[in-house]
Amino acid sequence: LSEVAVTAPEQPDIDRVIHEPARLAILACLSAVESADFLFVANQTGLTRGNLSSHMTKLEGAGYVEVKKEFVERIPRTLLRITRKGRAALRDYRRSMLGMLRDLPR
Amino acid sequence: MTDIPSVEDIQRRTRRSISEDGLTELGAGMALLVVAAVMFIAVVFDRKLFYYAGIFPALVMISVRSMRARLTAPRIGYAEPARTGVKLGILIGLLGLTVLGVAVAASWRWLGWRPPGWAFNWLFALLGLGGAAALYGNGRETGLRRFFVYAAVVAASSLVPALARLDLGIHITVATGASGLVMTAAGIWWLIDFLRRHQRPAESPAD
Repeated sequence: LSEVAVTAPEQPDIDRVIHEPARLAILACLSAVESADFLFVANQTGLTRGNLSSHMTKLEGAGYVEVKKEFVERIPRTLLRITRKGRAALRDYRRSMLGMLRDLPR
Repeated sequence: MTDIPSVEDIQRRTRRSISEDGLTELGAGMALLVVAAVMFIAVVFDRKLFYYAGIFPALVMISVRSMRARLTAPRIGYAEPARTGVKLGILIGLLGLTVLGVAVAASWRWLGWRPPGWAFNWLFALLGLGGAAALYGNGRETGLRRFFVYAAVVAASSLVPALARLDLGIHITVATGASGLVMTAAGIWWLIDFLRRHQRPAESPAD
């Protein structure tokens, strides 16, 4: 084996939680509203309820989204809201992606 | 989902979905029509029913929220619009103008002066322009071109009577009446269109 040290190329600082297109769509949707219910977010992103639920678990685990359950006229409603941390993460993600694309050779 | 979504497109589409049901302009239009009716009664019959003009917009806001919960939410879901800095700035600006106008009028009267009539016409025209700016901003945020039309109607109906030096009561009646009529009619049209395009799903929307 050669003794030349192989250094790994520098990894761009990309948030893997947001990098998934479905989760990016959910965060983008929630960043445009104060809060929204499951049906609204599913309609806007084109995700099924199952898919949305699974992505929401990951976003909630990262602290990017909070889920609140409430009753409106005796009908249960789950309200989703982007957190301050989530907004900051989305902003940082956009900045990183734009920077990375700008540095790409043509 | 395999395509990389455009954040701006999703945000615009989301804002558009909240405003496309026509309830915002229907509510605002009805509130303006009540103000116009109260002013008309004050000008023509000399009966001052200004409490109603103050109470009605609050009632309209409550009924718009309730209608949204009953008509829109079961079809496309429920979302609370974001309170952006620009909207808040315009609202604070409008409130500031109103307070300034009242303060100037009160000081003038206290000093024994009679404020010139045109001052209030132009103050009202400025309020109208503030409202038009808010509607224009909503049009830009959502991409719904009809908000540009409302902005133009509100701006024109506020400015033209001021330029024509109409009496303040007539000015307010014309401006709120014209804007209210256009927005109410458009609101009803877009609400019917919305209900036709989005059928109520068979299953319960409960989560």
